[in-house]
Amino acid sequence: MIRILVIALAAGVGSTAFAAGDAGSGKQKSKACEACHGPDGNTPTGPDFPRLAGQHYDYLLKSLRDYKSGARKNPIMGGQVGNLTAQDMADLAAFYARQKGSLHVVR
Amino acid sequence: MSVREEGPHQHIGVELRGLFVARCDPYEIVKKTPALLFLFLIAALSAHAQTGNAEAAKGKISMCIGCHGIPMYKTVFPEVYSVPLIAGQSPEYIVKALQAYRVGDRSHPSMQGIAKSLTDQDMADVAAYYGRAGKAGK
Repeated sequence: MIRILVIALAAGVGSTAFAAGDAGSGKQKSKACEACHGPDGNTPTGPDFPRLAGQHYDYLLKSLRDYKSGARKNPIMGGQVGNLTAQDMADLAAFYARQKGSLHVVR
Repeated sequence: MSVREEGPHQHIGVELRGLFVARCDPYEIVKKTPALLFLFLIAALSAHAQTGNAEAAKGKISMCIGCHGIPMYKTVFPEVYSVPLIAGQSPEYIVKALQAYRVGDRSHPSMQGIAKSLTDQDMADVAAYYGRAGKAGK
């Protein structure tokens, strides 16, 4: 039983490591995103484009995956994610999560 | 086209190319003006986005703070991930996100349920609250 748990845990850690993004690569891949979200992800060019800077990594990654799978529907983003690999999405999420921005928690 | 006065009630008849005659009583028009203005106002309001009131949102955010008010809080169903930071997003984006949950363009079960319970005015108020919080946090 313990062995199974250890194997399951190792597999879980392994899959997390595989999905981990590289912020440096993400910056290089973010050129297409700049037009709407701004170079730092904190200066969107339209009022209804979200800020990405400082957003949680796993939420950003899920958003990109959902756009790709169609679970989240948006005409602009649906077109943007078509050519992104799983690694591209992880890298982009890592890059924007690391940028400083005005997103925060209030009660 | 000719305009002529007739009778004691000051009826004005407008004759167009002799095909039909439209009769307009100035008194009737004045009587109906408030109703016309009201209809115009309704049309204008529905054509434009609601104006949010951050103060009014304070009675409406109890549903939000249980998740979005806790730093690093994670949702666990149907997937595990951190709930997004929303304070500091633009009000326009927050409204768009809520509308997407309402119509099913976004898929989180709790957020869909909450968004369906909100009126357009509720969404605008909540968006104004979290959008304003963003400005204060800069």
